[in-house]
Amino acid sequence: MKAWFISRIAREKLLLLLFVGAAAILWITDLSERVRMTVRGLQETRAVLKIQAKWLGAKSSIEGEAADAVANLDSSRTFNSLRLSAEISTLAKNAGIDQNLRSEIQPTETTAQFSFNTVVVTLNRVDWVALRGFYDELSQRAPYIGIEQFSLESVRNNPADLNARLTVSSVEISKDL
Amino acid sequence: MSKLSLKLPVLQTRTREVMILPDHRFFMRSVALTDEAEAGSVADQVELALEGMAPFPLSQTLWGYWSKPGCAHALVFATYQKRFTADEMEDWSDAEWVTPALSTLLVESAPVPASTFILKGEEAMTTVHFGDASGVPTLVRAAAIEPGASESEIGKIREQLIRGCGGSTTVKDIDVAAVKAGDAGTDELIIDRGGEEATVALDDAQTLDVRDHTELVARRRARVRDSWLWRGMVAALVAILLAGVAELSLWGTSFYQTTLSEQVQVQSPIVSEIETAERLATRIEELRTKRLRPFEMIDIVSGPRPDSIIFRRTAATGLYSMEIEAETDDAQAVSIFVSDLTDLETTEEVVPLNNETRGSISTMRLLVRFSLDAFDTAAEIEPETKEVE
Repeated sequence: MKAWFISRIAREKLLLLLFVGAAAILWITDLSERVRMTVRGLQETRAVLKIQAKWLGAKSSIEGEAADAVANLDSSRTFNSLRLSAEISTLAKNAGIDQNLRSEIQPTETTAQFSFNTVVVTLNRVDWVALRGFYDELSQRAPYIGIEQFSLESVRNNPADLNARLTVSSVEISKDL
Repeated sequence: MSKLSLKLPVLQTRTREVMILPDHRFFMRSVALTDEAEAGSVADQVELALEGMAPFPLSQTLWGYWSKPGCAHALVFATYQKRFTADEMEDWSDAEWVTPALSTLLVESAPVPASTFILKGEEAMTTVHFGDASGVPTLVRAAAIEPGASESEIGKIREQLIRGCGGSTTVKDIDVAAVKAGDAGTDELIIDRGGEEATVALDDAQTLDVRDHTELVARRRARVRDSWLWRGMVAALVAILLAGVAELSLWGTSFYQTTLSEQVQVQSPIVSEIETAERLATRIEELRTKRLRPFEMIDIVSGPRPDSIIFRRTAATGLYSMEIEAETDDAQAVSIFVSDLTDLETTEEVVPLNNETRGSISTMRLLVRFSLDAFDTAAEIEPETKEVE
């Protein structure tokens, strides 16, 4: 190979070197970019796998915690999303603010052992006393029903009127348990 | 396949030639050398000596020389260019080495002093006498051998040549060695004497080449250039080879990554379920043990509230924190309210987030953090437990 190359005339040697050198540079440039992307992809995939392994390793303990969380709850007193919405309507009616109520059922989050239901409740132009009565009644349903978020604001032109927005959640235990 | 390839002219390696010339066509002299620092390089001293000795212009002379480092003399050989015909010189330009036959003896190791070698070729016989241990001949005599000369005639020539040397302790008859150029790129000459091969670097033997010295310098530069071009070529080829290896590794890595990605895909729904279970378990635990108490928070922050301050908006930002937006027409009341809130046992921290004044109305935004024992948890309603069957 060396003898063949050296025995070429100078112009041929130079052209050969340029051609092979250019091919090497182009290939390596393209390759380095692909290597960089592959290595990054591999690192990310490994990181995801590591996190997944952590979760999988903790599966039994998490299932144990979940079982403990619902252990003291009576499944017959838990609420699905429809029952939750109906219960809130009943409480609002008892407080005399059912006309001011608007509720919106959020998507249910489900596991093998239980479901978690959420309803966003809006009460417009209600007075403090009625709202407090509604809240007190709602609190009586704990821990089967709980408030996750709460905001209250007074109406600008009439501070005695209040607009309340609550995110209310309930747990529903699977019948199999 | 290899036979087919070799028939393609472009794939064939150019044949490299060495031209060995008969010694008797050259006159040979030993020239004394002086210190290089004073008299210039050996080549310059030899050139100067030749200008004095040669009966024809140096530009029309084919000459070469042989000396060794530290040696006080050099063997110089030269001939008039026109003693060689155009046909004889036709292949010289492509040859690797053009030199008299005695040069094949000179590049070998130095013999003991007072040794004489009889070098017998087809056209000439040469005696090379080494009078000292320098390895550079002190005397060289060459005589032509007529075609068809008998053994006795050749013997007479031999005797005359030995006598011409004088003082020889050993005389050794040897045939002119066959010389061939090594493979292109090796830059070496292979001297074959009776089956024994010795290699000599072309650069070391260049002073023995009789061609134009400017051309020899150019050839030497071309050899250096070719050497660097070859190194560049090797580097490029190695880079390509490594890129090929890296490409294979990349292919293997991609395959491995695909396997890992498939594993991620398979595990994702299971992990997602576990994550949901963990998140919901935490929320159920909070539902069961920690209630959000927005109205109790409002009761606490309303306690020290001056009448001039009106709450516009309150929002529970956590189990123990509440954000308040309020306005007042009494700017002094704001600082009093914040101070009173901070002094409460049930509050841990009061952080003013914003305070704006427009005309007589001041608007403020506060973040109130309550202490963990702020609420009466003793009144917590315990859930009814399931009956154990």
